[in-house]
Amino acid sequence: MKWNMLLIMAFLATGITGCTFLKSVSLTNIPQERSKVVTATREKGIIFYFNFDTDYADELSADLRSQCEGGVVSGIFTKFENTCYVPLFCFYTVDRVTATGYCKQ
Amino acid sequence: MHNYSGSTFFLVLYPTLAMYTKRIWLLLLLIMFLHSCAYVYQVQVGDIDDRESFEPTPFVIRVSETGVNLEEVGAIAQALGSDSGKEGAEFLKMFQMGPTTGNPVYNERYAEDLLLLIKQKCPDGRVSGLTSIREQKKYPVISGEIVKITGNCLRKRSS
Repeated sequence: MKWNMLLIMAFLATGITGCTFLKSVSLTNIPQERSKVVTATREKGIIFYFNFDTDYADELSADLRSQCEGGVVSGIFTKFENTCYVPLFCFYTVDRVTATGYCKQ
Repeated sequence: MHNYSGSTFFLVLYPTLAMYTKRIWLLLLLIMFLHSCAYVYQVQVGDIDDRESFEPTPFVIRVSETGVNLEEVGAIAQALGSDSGKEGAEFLKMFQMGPTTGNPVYNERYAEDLLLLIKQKCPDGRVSGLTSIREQKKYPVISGEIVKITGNCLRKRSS
């Protein structure tokens, strides 16, 4: 019984945890006025490396623009990360792009 | 519930199963060789100008070059019984060092014209909301090493 529990715990520990990897970071010129912060995130879940397009990142710029209509977004910090679930095989991974910037109206 | 006897299994079910197994193998082979998996290595978003005095015109630029995975070349050469092919691939790998994204390409200048291409897309305006994505389309042995740029060309609105 104890061994069964131990096996279940080991399975949960390896199956439910996730490892996150930072793949790239970039930053543009930071403005003096930093009162309004805008953020956009796009992500895609990938099962066992079967990913056929990377279009999810294309709309990031439009997302930021829609939050700062008629203004200028600068000081944009872009982070691209990858979270791998079921770490033994990376059976399920999530690619996530986050962009944060300052909006000047 | 069906109750198949041993002879029924061999006469009817086994050939049917064998036929489907062949098709499944064929399908798996096709999936293996015809699909391409896409990987993203880097995403960068530039400053965005959405002032009303400008009219944005979106554009997309994509440049790519064929990459070669020498490890896969070596593995295939070894599987085909050629140790020299694997050794050759390992020898070539010795000249490809340093931090990389994706597979090595044999024209390292393939992305150098990006500035010129952006200029061509937007010769008389301001460029805003530039998003550059470094991605890879992976096929067996070879890959497409791609740089994709999307952005907006801003031109003064005629009032």
